Parts: sequence; structure tokens; C-alpha cells
Amino acid sequence: MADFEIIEEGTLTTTSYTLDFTSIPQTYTHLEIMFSARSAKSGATTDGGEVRVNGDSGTNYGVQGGYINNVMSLNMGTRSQIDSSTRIMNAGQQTGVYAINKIMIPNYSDTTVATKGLLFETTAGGPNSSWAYWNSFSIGFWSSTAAINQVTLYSESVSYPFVAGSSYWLGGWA
Amino acid sequence: MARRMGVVMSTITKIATATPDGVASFTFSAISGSYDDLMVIGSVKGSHTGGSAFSNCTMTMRFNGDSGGNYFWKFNKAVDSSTRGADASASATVTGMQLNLVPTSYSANTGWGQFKIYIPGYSDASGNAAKRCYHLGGYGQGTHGSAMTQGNHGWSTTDAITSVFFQLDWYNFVAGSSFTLYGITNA
Repeated sequence: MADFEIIEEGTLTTTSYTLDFTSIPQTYTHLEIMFSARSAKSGATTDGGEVRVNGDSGTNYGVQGGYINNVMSLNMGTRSQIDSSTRIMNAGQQTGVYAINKIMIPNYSDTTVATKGLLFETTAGGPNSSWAYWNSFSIGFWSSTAAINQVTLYSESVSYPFVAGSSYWLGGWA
Repeated sequence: MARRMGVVMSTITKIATATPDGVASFTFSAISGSYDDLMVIGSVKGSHTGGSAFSNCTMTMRFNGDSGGNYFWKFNKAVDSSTRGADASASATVTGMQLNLVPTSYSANTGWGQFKIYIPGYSDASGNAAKRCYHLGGYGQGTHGSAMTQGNHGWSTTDAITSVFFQLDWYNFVAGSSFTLYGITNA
């Protein structure tokens, strides 16, 4: 096994509410995800997406981080997904431009680690100063000792799914 | 979704793994200078059982065994919903680079710290006045709170980095703490 491998990658050819990485092998030490996201929602704006792990829809998530001069803080045990740590470009932004999202998941399969952490870096924006932009750093939490075998990335809502052209890869670090 | 298994994309080399347990510090030593950048990815937790559910301590990083006042650090911090902004020791007098907040082992503290540290140009001794690091990390636990740190750290020297030292600033690492060191070669 190489010390870094692309486990899964692709580009959407139709709209989809989710990007779902399933049956993730347990043979790596860390996971990394990169995806570019855009929706058909109107406006030169961006919106947050959500993340769930292992299909868990219980209130076992939290998030902490910051964007520009503000802070996002959604405590553990109060959230049923990791909110707003990913970003999606809306349709009023420059054509063909996608929000960029990067996620690192250290020790995803370690069952000693009682709270898994997902490290997020996101950026979105365009060359026109009237278009909204977004840059953030955050960490999302999933309160579980279970190994992570599924990561699901959600668009802002079912009404505004990821559009065709949104792309992704999942990598494994040895 | 399309699936493509086992395809090599990057020249990333796993150099070493450390699993400190019952010790306050450890060192990745004899690091080869044959890569372009280093990356450390890990999970950490401290052994202190007192305090409160949200107690934490800091972790310090040093290079090449240098414990002199040759470091700085400056990072963004978000803790719970009330503490935010920059935290820094920006003068070149501090004796280490303060990193991730590390949760303790107080009975109600289920949190684990998670982090990544990127060290570009670590072996460049050609005249760069200082080595720089980027780190992103944090932790969350129970319903008690969470913390995130993200920032810039530095070591004021032109020396190539050959060892990386980590120290928990309060008590010891517990079992399950894990650090993986990678070398990254740019194409």
C-alpha cells in the first residue's frame, strides 16, 4: 500500500443532495476529503452544508471554529449533524466556480478515541466584490468510539442539491 | 459514485508513528532531509483527572532539541461560544511553540484532541531566517464545550529540522494518543 492513496473520486453528472462515501476501508490511519461544491440556489452567495458519520442522525455532533471575524460554536450533544463547516457556492456566483472544502479525519478507525474530530478548511468566493465570500477553519466532532466507515456530505437542503460538476475525492493516509 | 481503489496520487511517505502513553514528552528524531515538507497528524489526550469536564492543557512543540527562546506562535482560537480571537506569544523569547488544546481525563471529559501540523521547507538551510508551521486542531466533548485553534508557529533559525519534540504541558499522554509523521515530496 502506498502511504497515500485515493480511495474514491468522481464528478457529479447529475444533481445530488449528498456525496456519500460508504464502506470506507479500515486499513488507513487517517482520512482526507477534498470536494468542490455548487448548488442551483439563486443569489451571489454561499451556504453551509452538513456532515454525518456512519449514518448517525442522533444528537452526537458538535462544531467549533471561526470565519472572518466571527465564531461558530454548536455544542456537542446538541446537533444531529456537523453544521456549516462545509461551504457551497450558489448559482448567482461566477459561472463554473465552486466552493472548495478540505477535511482531515485523524485516526478515524481508532476505537480508543472516544470523540472523533473532523478538521475543516473551506473557501468560497469570486472576483466581483459584490459577491459573497467565505473562509473558515473549524473542527467538527462526532461523539463515538466506533470506527468511521461512512462519511456523508449534505448540500444545504434537498431543494438545492449539489449540481453536476461538483467533484470530490477521498484519500487514505497510511 | 465512481470508485477507484488503490491509485497512488502523491509522493507522501510515512516516516514514523509515536504512541506516547504515561509520558509527558517524546521526540521524532533523525528525520531525513530528503523530503520537501513534513506533516504530523494525530490524536491526543492528557492524564490529569482533576479539574472539570472542560479542563484542558496545552501541547508544546520544539525542533532539534532547542529549548532556548527562539520560537513564536500566534493562532486563532475559538473556545465555547464566548472566547474568540487571536492568542499569541509573538516575541522571539518563548521556549517552544504552543499548539493544540488537549482535553484531560476528568471523568466527564470524553474529548480527544485532533490536529494536523504542516511544516514546509523543513530541511532548507539555505538562508531562510525562520522555519514556519501551520496547524489546525481542537477538541469537543460531551455537552460541555469545544475548542479550535488554527495558526502560525515559527523557529528562528536557518538550521534544517532533524528532530521534532512534543511535550504535554500538564501531566502525561494517555493510551490512544497517536502521532504520525509524514514526509511530502513535491513533484
